Amino acid sequence: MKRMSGFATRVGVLILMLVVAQNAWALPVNVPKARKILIGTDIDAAQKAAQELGRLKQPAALGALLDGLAMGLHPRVAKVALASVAKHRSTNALDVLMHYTHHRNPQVRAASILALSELKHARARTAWRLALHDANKDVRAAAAQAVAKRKDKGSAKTLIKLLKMGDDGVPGPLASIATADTARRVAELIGEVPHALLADCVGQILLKKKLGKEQIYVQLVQTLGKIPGEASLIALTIYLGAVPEKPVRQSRRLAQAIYESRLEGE
Amino acid sequence: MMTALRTLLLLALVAGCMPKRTFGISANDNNAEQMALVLAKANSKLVREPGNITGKPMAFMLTATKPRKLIAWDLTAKKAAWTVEAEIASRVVVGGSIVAHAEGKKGNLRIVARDVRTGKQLWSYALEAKTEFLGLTADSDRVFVVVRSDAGKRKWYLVALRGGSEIWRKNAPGVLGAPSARNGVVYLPFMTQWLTMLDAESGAQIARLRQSDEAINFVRTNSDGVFYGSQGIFALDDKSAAATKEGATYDKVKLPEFVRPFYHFDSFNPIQARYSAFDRNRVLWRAKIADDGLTFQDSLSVVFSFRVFFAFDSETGDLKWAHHHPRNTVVGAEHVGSAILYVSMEGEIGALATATGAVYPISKIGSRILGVTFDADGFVPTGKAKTTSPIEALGAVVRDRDSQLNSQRLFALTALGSLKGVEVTKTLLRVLKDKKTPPAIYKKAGDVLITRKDKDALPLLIGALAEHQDFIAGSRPRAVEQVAKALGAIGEPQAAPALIAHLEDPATSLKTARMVIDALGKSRSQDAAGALRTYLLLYRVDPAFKSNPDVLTATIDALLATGGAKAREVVAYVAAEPRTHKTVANYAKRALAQTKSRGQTEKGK
Repeated sequence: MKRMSGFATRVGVLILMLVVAQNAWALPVNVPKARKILIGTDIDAAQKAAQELGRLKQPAALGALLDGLAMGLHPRVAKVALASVAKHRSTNALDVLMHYTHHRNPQVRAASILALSELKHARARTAWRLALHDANKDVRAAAAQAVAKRKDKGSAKTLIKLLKMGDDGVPGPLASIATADTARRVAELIGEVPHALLADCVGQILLKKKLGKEQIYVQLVQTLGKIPGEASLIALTIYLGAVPEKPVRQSRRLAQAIYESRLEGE
Repeated sequence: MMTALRTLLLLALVAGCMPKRTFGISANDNNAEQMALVLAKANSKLVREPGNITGKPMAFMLTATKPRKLIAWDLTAKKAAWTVEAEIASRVVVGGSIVAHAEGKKGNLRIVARDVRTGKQLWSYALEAKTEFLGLTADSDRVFVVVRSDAGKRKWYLVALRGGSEIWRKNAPGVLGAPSARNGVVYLPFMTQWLTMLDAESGAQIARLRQSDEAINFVRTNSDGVFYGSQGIFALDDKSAAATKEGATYDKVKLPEFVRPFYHFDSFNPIQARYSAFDRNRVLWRAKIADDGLTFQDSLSVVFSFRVFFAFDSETGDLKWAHHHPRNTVVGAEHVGSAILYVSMEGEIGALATATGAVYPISKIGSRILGVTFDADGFVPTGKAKTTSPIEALGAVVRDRDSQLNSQRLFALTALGSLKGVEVTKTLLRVLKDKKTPPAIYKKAGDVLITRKDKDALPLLIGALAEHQDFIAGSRPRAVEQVAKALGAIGEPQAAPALIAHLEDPATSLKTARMVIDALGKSRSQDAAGALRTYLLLYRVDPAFKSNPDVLTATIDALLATGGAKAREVVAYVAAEPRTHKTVANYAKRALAQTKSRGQTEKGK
């Protein structure tokens, strides 16, 4: 019995060792070790190291990430490293991040743009504004997200152009920075933007609370009423669900009427 | 008086030995005495003036729109002398008092003669059935027509007409070419070997040449004399009886390789008996017989293709001037001695100064034109001629998008390359930036741009790199490779920022990036060295470069070329770092070793 108990203890220790080994990265790590792994040949381990260095808040961790990026990382590792750099929210990273906005790998470019959106800096804004013109859709979508995050209203015109070109990463960000003027412009885009995309964008703008006079909401609902297909019906439904019946709003009444007539029509 | 008597005496003497049979295979060829008779007639009136009896310089034009019309245009008055409706099926030829042409459809053709003063039809002569019309000419009030008859045994014949009737007819056992006539002599290439000369009034053969070392496929008569040949030009003179290129008065003009020497219409090609594409691609020349042989007027030959005119030095082949007629195809052009006259498809009549290519004011006819015959020897255009700079003229040729002109465009690019001035670079860049430029032209323009090494054009070249890919604007940069190569050839540091911007642009293809890297290596710029270091470090571990290591190896070369300890340090790091692609690491090691030993050798020296 004693022997059995001793064996069980040994097995227990062994299992514990295995578990510890497997979750090595869940335990606190030191920066020098992570730095070494980051620039090592094992890509998976390097990705994990990059992730961990993002979790560590000390400046040395950021330094390790920036050094790794400066000396060259596998794109998969670089992508994670950039996301980790973003977590540090340090302008010390600006130069490296700016450089990575030109990386040949679009995933890496997108990651650098998202990282830049964490920084309040004119150069960072210039970078995501330029990235809205990128040939790659994912990079443009990342740039649009940066616009939304930093409430960069100066990018509204560019986002409208992208909407016209059918970029489906645009409706959310555009709605988030939309003013009354933007709302009016978007409402006039019927025929110029794919129906589903326009309905999505108008629907999201409609949900904004401080857009201005009620008339703008009415104009947006009217636009939705003119857009054929399911997407506009969904947008109307969401609007009806989001706005309480009282106090009575003209836009809601109109939305209700259009919604019902559409259903009857079906 | 004495000369006339001598000629008469000679005629009487030779009459006895005149060949009895025309167009025989065996005859008294290359007879100098008989040739003297021809020359006496041929050279009796060589004055540069129109051949028609009105004395007015005229252009006879066939309209392109139906019903077809023949317009007789008075070049001095700049207006139509007369216009008649006519279904013309041949070139228009001009005698003294008449203009003549074939009319009707194939198999039902007739020869029509009109009064040169009014255009009124004077007579017509129906060609026999089952015949093919091969060409015609006119002299005075006579018209000479060459026809092939396919009725029974195939035969060729020449028929002389006056007033709608045959005045004589000569059958031939072999192929007869289209005739030419002047001063009472009819000239006919026969079976590409002989040039037969007949008396215009009687049809009797006066003389015949049998050319031994060059085919005869054209004969041309004008106020300078009589010329014949194929690959080159023989002048009919007292040496013609030698019947060899060496013995006769013979010459060729020197032309660039792209030019097909087309000295005159091929007498044996029935297509050329009417207005065709051959009228739009010719060598225009005028020549005279001098003591030392054939001399070309102004020492020039003018190569004309569609709407491009290149004048070449007849001896050296050097380009002397160029002219590009804007937009419209030129349907016919003629060197009239005093000017080069041409007519465009849209009915513009233009004139160029023969020696300089200066352009005289253009007249407009108001009709679309299919073909033209000029009778305007010695005509001097009026108005102030405008000279165009060679760069402007060649630039216009280069920018012409007509694919028929690709050879001319390639030639113009070469010619442009030898000229100085930033305008040349501007033109080359315009061609390179044009999306519609065909690959061969694009390549040539790039090559010329690179070999020019035009330092003065540095700002232009740098400016040409300003465009980058922009999804929203829909723009894509063009010619980055060529411009980068050109900047590399110049090797100035000012170019580095523009080049770096393309190196760092993710839209730049790896092929283009390689050219940019080479250029940066030659730019002697510290900024370039920095950009190259970063590029090498960033992508040495990128799997996208594993199959394109040459971009990175080129970066290593360029980086080491910029010099400096930092460059060697980075290359050494890349060589030693285990993540670097093996090919790149090995190359870095070799490059370091080679440049080190080179450095040591230079130090030792």
